[in-house]
Amino acid sequence: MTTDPTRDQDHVEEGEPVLEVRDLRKVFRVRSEDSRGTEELVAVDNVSFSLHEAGSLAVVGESGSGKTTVARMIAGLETPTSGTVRIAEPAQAPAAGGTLSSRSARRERHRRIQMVFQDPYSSLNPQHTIQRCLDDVLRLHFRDLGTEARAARVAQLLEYVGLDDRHLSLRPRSLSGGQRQRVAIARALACEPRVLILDEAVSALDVSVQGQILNLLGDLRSTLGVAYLFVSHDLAVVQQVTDDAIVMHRGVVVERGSTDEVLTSPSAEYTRRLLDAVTRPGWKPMRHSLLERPVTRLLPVPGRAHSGD
Amino acid sequence: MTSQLLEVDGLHVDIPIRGRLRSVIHDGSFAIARGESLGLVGESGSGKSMTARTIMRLLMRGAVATGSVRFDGEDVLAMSPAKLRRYQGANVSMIYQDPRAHINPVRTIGDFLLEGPAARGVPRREAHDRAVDLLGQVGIADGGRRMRQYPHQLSGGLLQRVMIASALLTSPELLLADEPTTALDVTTQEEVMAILDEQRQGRQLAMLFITHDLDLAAAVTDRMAVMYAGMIIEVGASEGIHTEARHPYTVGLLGSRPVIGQRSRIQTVPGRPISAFEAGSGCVFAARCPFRIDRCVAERPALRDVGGREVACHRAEELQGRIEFPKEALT
Repeated sequence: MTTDPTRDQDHVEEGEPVLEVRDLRKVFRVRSEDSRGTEELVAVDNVSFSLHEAGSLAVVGESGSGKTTVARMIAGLETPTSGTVRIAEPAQAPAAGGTLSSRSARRERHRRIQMVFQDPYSSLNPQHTIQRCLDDVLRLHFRDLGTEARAARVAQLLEYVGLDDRHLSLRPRSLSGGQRQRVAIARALACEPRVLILDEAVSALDVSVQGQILNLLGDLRSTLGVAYLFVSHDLAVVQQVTDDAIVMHRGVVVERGSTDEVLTSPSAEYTRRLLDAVTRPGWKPMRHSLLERPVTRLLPVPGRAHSGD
Repeated sequence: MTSQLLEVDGLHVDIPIRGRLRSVIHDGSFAIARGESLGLVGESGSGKSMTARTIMRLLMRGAVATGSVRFDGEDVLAMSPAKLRRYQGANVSMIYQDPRAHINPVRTIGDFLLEGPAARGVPRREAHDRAVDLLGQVGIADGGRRMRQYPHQLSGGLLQRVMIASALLTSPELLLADEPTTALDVTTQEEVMAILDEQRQGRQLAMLFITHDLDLAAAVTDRMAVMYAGMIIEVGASEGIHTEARHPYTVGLLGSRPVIGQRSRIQTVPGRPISAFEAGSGCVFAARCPFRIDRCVAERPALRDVGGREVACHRAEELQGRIEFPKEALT
């Protein structure tokens, strides 16, 4: 692999991964196409990867590829049908036993892993000021922090994302889309997670603002050492933020490698197709043979024969 | 002069927002020749969709449009109801971003496609055959079966093809396409754009293509108009826009998009896009422009010819080839 001077991270994988995903599988039960019964749909199958401290992995795919389902299972928002998600413990905290199943277990998980969503309009509480939004997280996760310490921490978080105390008393609707996404990132960083999941986190932003956020994400990773799981359909964006990438299509990983390799010498037919579709200077749309519709891997539901009448 | 199919001149639009009239378009002037494809490119709040709605004369109640929109020499803003019906129903067709929001979910695709022809008294059999034929042309081979299906049974890409077929059904002279592929996956976007481009060129149709994606617009248009905060700030040939662009905003926008294979920090335009009503009396881009001088804040520049492109920038000549933006994360 060639060395790239623009990469700040030593790409050395050593020690325990902060996130390890093994044989992840998710099957949803859905209404069958003829609306007469149900079928099982394999949304994610046999997905494995690991992420090291300050590492970054892109999960690339289109709608129906299963990429968001993978992210949601890792974040604990969806239960895997089978397979395991192992997340390293937070930097300083008592080890949580494997049997915790209560609120504290959830909180524990949130300290290790945080998620930033596509739509900053709906992921922040519209009633709360930015101050409150960040302070609440600190109060929940760091109970021994006093008022002053929390205020200092809020100021620091805002500084990380390029905002300042002028924004403290504002509510989300007074902020632009880019500013809201900065707040969402600050809030995710508030509990010092080991892994930050960014699910199409820059897709809804205007182009002239998207670049600012991409540069910001690059800076934060090198400053804070947090690992990124960057879920996106946009290969050009992925290249800016990640060292490694997997490409998903119809629930399975069709390609994996360093992001540069995947983008410059893809081996999977689907990845090439995806790359061809990225608009760029001099690009022209081509008519290809129809790709099959994604996500149609259906299994018959036991006990309910899939009658083909 | 009569070679132009659509002429928009000095367009200014105010719409009521929470009881107050607010400007959404300050000054729009452009023309589209027969068979020509013009891109209208801008970010959110730039007024590009409002421009399309004004051309279609589909503005909301209480909106005030001044200036002129002429279609084939006819003043669109002053058309009689009968003429307007013909204009909206047959001369111009529109394709929207979200096909699902513009199709009745409880009626079949066939009902949707045959509604217009039926209203014009076209025999059903004839209209049906023509619709199936058109579906074939936009890449839907089993048109007869699709006509009996409901919108929810079609993917977004297929549904947008149905929309294209429906837009072509009346044999219009002008197509208004408002972000027609923004809601689609990238591979589907490529398919749909290829089909739209092929059909448009084959029929010598004029098109106004609205998008936020400069590269996408450049691929399917002859010329491009760039809009910012209710103003058209640059118009010129689509080919070579990456090297020929003159307005600082256009150059900034071109540099903001990461290019595959070039992994370095991205040039960024400081600040955020503003809406038309937030613009002061000077250049609409002045607040974000690293090259602004006092004159930019005091006096709004008009579009003028600068080396073959129309540019609304006081400093267009002296800045040529010297525009570069910072690569900051924090602005």
